[in-house]
Amino acid sequence: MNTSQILIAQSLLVATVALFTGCSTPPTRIQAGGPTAVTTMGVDLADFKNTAGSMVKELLVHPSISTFSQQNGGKLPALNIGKILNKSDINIDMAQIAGRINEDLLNSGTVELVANDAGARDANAQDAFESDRKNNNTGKADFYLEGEIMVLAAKEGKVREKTYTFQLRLNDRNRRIKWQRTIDVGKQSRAGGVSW
Amino acid sequence: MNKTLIACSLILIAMTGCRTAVNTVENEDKIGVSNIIEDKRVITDGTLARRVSVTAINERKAPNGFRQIQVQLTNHKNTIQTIFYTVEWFDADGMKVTTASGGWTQQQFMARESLYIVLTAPTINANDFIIKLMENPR
Repeated sequence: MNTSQILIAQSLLVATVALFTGCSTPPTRIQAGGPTAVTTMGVDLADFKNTAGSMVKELLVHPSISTFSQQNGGKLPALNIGKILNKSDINIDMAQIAGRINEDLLNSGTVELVANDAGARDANAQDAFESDRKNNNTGKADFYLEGEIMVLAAKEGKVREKTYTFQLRLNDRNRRIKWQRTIDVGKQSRAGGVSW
Repeated sequence: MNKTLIACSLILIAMTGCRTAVNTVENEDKIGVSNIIEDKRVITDGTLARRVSVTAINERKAPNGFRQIQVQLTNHKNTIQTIFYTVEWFDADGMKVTTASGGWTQQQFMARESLYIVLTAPTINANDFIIKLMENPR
């Protein structure tokens, strides 16, 4: 093997090593749900954030919420997040959307939220014991936010499409629906071709 | 050579002519009165600005005092465009109001389409805003 052959062999070795090391990158922190986040055919963080954002911006200015205080001597409406049913065939943590709506409505200063965690239940039981009445274990709310998520799937050739429908309702204590909004999140992907 | 160039140009024109753009029809005498507001722009991506840009912003105050803005985004191209946008709100002291929802939203525009996006301030004190637009970085 002459000098030039050794040089070529060494160059090839370096290029091969560079190629393989170039295929992996260390993990980096990204803006969660931001433009660089991975978009899947499922429900991503961006879908939860955007859907919750669309719901919140309407609820904040809906007359049921926005005029409640004026009609009730300055009292803020108490909101209870009820059941948000997952009617899709995939596992979705609905707390991702309900929690975000809760948080933004609460921080807007327009509503009070009924606590349903363990501490609230203990306090409820204690109050019931001290006042000698039956404990129904529910906080008094003026409105209940409920809803469901559904999914539709379609396929044409190599193109796959999924539409997630988020539907939320605001019910009052008299079981009247005061507000309802449906938001569709559509996703499409093309199968086949070369992929890594 | 010239004939080949002309033929190629004609094919290219014919192909771009096949793109489906959005035609619109609207009432000429408007009943609604838009409160269009002045805006200040910082363009760092000229290519994006030539493709999709904010063409108007109008506003109103909700009965409970929350500021609402409607942003008109227009695709200036004859092809479908997809961009990301987000809005950040600031209070009376110029401090950003943090929210759990919202964030960057991916939006698809048909060719020559205008979309109207309504945004509501997260608190009654949030009156100033910045709308950010960017192309898909991936």
